Amino acid sequence: MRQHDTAAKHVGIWELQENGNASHIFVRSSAYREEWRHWADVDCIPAKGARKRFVWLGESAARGYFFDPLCTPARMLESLCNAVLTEQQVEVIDLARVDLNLNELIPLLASISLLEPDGLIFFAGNNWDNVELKPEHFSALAMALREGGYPRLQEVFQRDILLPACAAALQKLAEVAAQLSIPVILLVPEFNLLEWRNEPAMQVPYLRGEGNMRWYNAREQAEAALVAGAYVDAVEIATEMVRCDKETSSVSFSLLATALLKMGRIGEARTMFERARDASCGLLLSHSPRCPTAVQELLRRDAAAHGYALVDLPRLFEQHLSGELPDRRLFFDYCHMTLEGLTVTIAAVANQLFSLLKQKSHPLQSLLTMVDSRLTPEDEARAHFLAAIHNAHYGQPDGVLAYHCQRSLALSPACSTDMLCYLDFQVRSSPHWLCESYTQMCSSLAVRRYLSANDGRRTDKLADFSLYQAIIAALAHNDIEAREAFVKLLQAEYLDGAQTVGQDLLAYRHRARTFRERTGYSLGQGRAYVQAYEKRSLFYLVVATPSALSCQLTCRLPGKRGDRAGSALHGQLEVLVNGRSVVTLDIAEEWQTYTFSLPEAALREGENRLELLWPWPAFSGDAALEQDAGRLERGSFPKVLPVFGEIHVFTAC
Amino acid sequence: MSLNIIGISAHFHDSACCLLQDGKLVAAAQEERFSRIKHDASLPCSAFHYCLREGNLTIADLDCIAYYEDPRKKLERQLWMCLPERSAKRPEALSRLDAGRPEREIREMLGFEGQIEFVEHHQAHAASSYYFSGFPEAATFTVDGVGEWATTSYGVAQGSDLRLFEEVHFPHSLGLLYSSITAYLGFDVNDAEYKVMGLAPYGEPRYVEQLWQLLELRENGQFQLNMRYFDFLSEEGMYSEELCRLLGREPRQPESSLSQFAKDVARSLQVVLEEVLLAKVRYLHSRVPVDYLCMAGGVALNCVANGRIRREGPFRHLFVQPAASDAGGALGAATLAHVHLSGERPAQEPLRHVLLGPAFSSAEVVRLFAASSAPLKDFREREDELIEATVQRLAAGKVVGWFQGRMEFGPRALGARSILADPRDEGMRDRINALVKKREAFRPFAPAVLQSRAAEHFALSHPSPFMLETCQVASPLHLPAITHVDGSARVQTVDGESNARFAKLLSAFEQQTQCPILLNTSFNLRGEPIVCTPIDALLCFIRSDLDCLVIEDFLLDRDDLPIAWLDWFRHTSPQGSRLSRTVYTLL
Repeated sequence: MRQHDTAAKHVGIWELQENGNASHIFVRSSAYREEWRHWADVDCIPAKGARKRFVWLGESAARGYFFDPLCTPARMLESLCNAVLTEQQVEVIDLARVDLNLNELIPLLASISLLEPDGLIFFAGNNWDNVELKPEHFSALAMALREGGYPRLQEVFQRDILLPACAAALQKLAEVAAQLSIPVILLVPEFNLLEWRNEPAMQVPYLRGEGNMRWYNAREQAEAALVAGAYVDAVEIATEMVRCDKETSSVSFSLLATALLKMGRIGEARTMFERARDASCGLLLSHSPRCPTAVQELLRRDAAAHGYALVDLPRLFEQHLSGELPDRRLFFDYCHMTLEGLTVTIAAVANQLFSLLKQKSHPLQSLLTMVDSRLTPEDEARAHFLAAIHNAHYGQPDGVLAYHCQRSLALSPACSTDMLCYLDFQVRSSPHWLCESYTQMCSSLAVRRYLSANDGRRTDKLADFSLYQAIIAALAHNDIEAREAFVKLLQAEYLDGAQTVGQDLLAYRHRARTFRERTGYSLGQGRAYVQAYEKRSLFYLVVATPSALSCQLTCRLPGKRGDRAGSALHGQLEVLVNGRSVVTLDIAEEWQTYTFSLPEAALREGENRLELLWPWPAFSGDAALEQDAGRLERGSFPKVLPVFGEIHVFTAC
Repeated sequence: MSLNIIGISAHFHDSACCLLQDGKLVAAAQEERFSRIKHDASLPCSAFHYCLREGNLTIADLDCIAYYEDPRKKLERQLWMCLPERSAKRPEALSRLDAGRPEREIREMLGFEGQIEFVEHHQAHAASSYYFSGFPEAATFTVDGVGEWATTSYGVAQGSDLRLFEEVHFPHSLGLLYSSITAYLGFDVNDAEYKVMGLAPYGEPRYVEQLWQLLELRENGQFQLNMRYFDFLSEEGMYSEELCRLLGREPRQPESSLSQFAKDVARSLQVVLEEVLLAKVRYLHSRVPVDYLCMAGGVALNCVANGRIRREGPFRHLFVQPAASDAGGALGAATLAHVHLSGERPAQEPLRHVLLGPAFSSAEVVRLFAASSAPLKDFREREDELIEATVQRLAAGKVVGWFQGRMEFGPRALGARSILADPRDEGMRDRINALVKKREAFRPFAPAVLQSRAAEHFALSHPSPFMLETCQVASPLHLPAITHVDGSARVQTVDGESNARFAKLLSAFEQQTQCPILLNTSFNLRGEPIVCTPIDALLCFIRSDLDCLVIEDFLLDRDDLPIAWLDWFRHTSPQGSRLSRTVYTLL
């Protein structure tokens, strides 16, 4: 929250309206105009009346992301409570905020007394990994990195930084609850264990010695074993990967969990998926929100210590799914819940609330049928489409994108209009808010919130080609032909003006499939060139009528001579178009500019996949770790991930 | 084979990048224009990319990157300031004690593998002025807050040679003196010094005697600040309690109303500054008795003082580098590297314009608006009609956002990214301050005038293309919107050679109104960098109360803005500065 008049009494974006009497009415302040979209879409928090007032606190999962503001968990809860309770009515004040972090949570908690609540419902923890580091933290992390590489850094981060910060927030919660003598219902967040994967580029941090090469080799073998159905071998190799990376890679745990699951060892698989979720935390990388095991356990311990009512979503969902792993049935993405997920959650919270109000509790199943979201099928369809967009921008597999697009149309064929709008404004180079198609799609308040015109992060034009395919296929399945118009627009937008200067393949819309592929995964400052974190770099090239194209590529191998373990100062870079190898270049550690042509026969009308296949990186893990430790000592963020290649210019003309 | 040199200023405030190809300045831009963070100090990655693109170069084509400071000398000064106790008190400051940062970041963030030249900060300032002055020889005078140790320098230049022969060292600094009073008056340092300059004419010089106690003029080029009144060694503030006692008042709270006292202090400060500068310029002339003076450094942006130096100083010709503050250090670094590598003087011709930033074609504007419902008026191939339509609106009292060609380098909007209005309108200044730019009411606006008509309206005998000095308004017209309270104006003269379309607009405005002058202010909102792209301009248009936007060959009236755009962006503000607002970060 930006600085504002601290003398004014405010709760979130709502300021106390001085009306001369004792009743406290809070009005949404225009001073916080730019933050409105993160909070409940209500103009006013009324003065407290006869109803029991519960304050609902949390992050985007608690906002009902993708449904908000059409439907919110807070409203669902209030509606359910008042439908069930006969003698006592309840009001739920919605103070959940998208992107709420620990720094913002504490002052928000401190302000809650102004609302005179009778209880608090606390549903946070997914954003806590994003702790703001202090200077002394950087020194401690540098020391840890030198001592034991990223495994040790992760351990120190969790023990000395993350958990104390979480404990401080929970201490504040306890203080507020004690001061107001009010009960607390605390929710433990859960994660889409089965299906959520980190972005493909987030493989493994720098490892000591030659660890990275061993790990890359093992990964190829483990994936091959999985494909071949050799699950025992896959378990063995993935276990070796975990040993090699010392539990710092989600990929290793995911492979292990997948193999275990294939073998029917679901309990072990669950544990490994949980560790896959946790492995990214504390690596000082930008990753999707999540609540790691250590924080979940802290929440449970804290609830027990303070006598809070607990809604343990991992346990609840396990029960709900009869022991199966949480997946798309409950989650749209990593932590944002589907209507089913929200329904189960709200029913469980309501039961705890009834208990606090000394009302009789109800069987969960009976409450599930009473939860009323007031969502239309079209609203739910739209949420699935927004989820498809969100999943695409976090690098999720094509199958997930296809599922959400198809589900969207199955729920409401009218959602095809939104999809066509998206194809229109996302392909264009203009900001989406400049496009009529965006304005049309914004007739839905949920769309307007998620794709807010003010949110530059959401509105950059990315290389959404996987999503485009998913949309076009889903539309085709519903007898709507969209491809022809799409290709026409693609050609107009990507080729207009490109005849002379060429297509800049480093522009986001040619290469960045995810938010983070724009500027990299490090939390530090960006660079003036693109770094490849995978062996294969993918670019999308648009062609009108296939004919030979000339490419200019200025690239190099990463690192300096002194950083390399061996003498591999050169390597071969293979260029593929639509899977066909067209040229192999000898590249070196110095920038060099290469010009090569793409043959007409390899190209096709519309989008073309242009891939650079880098040589395996040759670097000394120890030297890279020392450099990262140096960065931390200087108060900067480390690189963390090995780089395969670097590109300064890549054009096709 | 060309000699391609990139110049960089960064890591303090106003980072910038320029490209010198065979001694010719091809491109220059401040990072803030791309990042949209006002005074952005980070290494200018985006500006660097732009410069390469403009020069049609890849990084492999570069011969050298020149950096505008000597980081080791700067570290000496920083250590002197902070050891032994402050390093322990402010652990976050330790990371700033990093002489390796410029080279490391140039290698890591830009990816540059070749030769890096480090030049001294005031050398860079002096070079940035002299080599672009077109003068055959010159005395150089640079004044700013601080670089490494120097805060003021005196030099002599001839042909390709440039030598500084005297410096004043930190903490004795006219820039920091001015910033300290700026902070005392409740304005942001390193940003709002020009507001204090603009406030000065509203006051009387009642505190000159007190302010003279802040410093002592010494022999030659030297002066000393009386450090009991300053506190910039502490990083807690710029001035001490002693200053408050001396002036008899508590400091003004930011955003509070401006008292006559504040205005009088501003005026007194301006008087003292001008006297000091004039004294030192006279000294410089005694050491370098030539006709030409070149100035740079942040204090050289004080256009009121510049006017007095030109009128009352001993030099016949004055050139002030238009991006005189740290951004311009990039130019100086690049030129010094050019001299070092080639042995020749760069940029033989005087700098005629600073239109050195990115441009956007009409085709790009068309593509941008293609899918919108905004009824953009299209004047392609009909420039006269575009000019006429714009003039009609200006003459009718409309305020116009004017976006044309390449973006200016430096702090002034000079007809490429400008807000324009009729200077004869009595209420125009208040309207633009309040509704368009959303800034303080006292802030004056500058005029742009046809070069050929300048002498008829201003006491100005020479071209002033960069808006770097003030003169008295001497016009038969009543020009309330651009005439400051003391009858002065900060004039930009415009000729058809350096900015043809802007000159045509002024001509057409004169034909219709008999006034060859337009109010010209930068195209941005308070706290926002000047717009760079058509999108920046459009967003500024939507957020402000501008009546009309002219982008290249297109015109859009406010009444034609789609309601949805207003709904989304009205009452939202651009991203603000991330820099310290109360103190210089001298470490």
